[in-house]
Amino acid sequence: MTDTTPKNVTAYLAELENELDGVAPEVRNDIVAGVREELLGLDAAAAHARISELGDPAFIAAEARTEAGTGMDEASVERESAPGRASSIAAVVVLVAGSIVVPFVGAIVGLVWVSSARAWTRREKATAWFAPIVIAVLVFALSLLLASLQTTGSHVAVLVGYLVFPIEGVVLAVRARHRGWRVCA
Amino acid sequence: MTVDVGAQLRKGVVEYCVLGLLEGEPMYGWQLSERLVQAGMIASIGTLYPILSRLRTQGLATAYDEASAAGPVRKYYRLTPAGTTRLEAFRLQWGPFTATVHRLVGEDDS
Repeated sequence: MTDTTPKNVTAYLAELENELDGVAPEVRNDIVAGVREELLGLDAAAAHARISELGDPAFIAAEARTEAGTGMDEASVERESAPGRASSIAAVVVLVAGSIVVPFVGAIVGLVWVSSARAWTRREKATAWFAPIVIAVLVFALSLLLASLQTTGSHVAVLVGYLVFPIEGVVLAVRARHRGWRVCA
Repeated sequence: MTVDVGAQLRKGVVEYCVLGLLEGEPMYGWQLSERLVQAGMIASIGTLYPILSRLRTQGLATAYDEASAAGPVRKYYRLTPAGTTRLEAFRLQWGPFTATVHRLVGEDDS
């Protein structure tokens, strides 16, 4: 079977492969394959136009070398983008566990820690403080209402109050985790 | 010494631009390269493939071969669920980040 690939395509691919010498094999193979699939099937004139758009193989190779040397691996991205991550995680653990083990005091310690952590925005921190107060007022009102109606269940309403801090901790953890525990404040 | 501010900025966001393009539809290398070169985000196809390689290594994008009716078999790239999550996380950061920089840098009054 006769190879119908235009000579300019064959020459360009050969030069590209040559210029990419020293680039990581996987990247080199991807570039050559990507360019080849773009040029194969074109006639000489169309290939010439496409080669002009692709540019000098030496320039492509230089760009590939530069880019390959600047990428950050996943671990370094995580390390650099999440300072204080451990402290932030500890803050929500204290908020959740502390509020269960040592009611109220544990929650306050957890909230103070959350406020000093860097994984949440100011608004989230303010909400973390005000939400329990609002819920406490609502629970108190509900308790009074149930008591006035002489209906059992007012103690259950109080128990709901104890769940606020653990739930709040879980919500904060989910939000921070969604952002990769990156610095927000 | 002249510092190419644009180049520094592009380096920080070009991976997310690739993820953004792939979110719309799976694309092959030349397609991606054309869009990014036109937008001034990369200088050549040589910049693109190391980025695609990193995205695949990190599990943010994946590749598959697909034969076209008229043309050759092409390697298409598409976003993975992890890539979608990463892109969403970037979007959450980008707005506040640019707003903060704008506040600090201010506008050119000249």
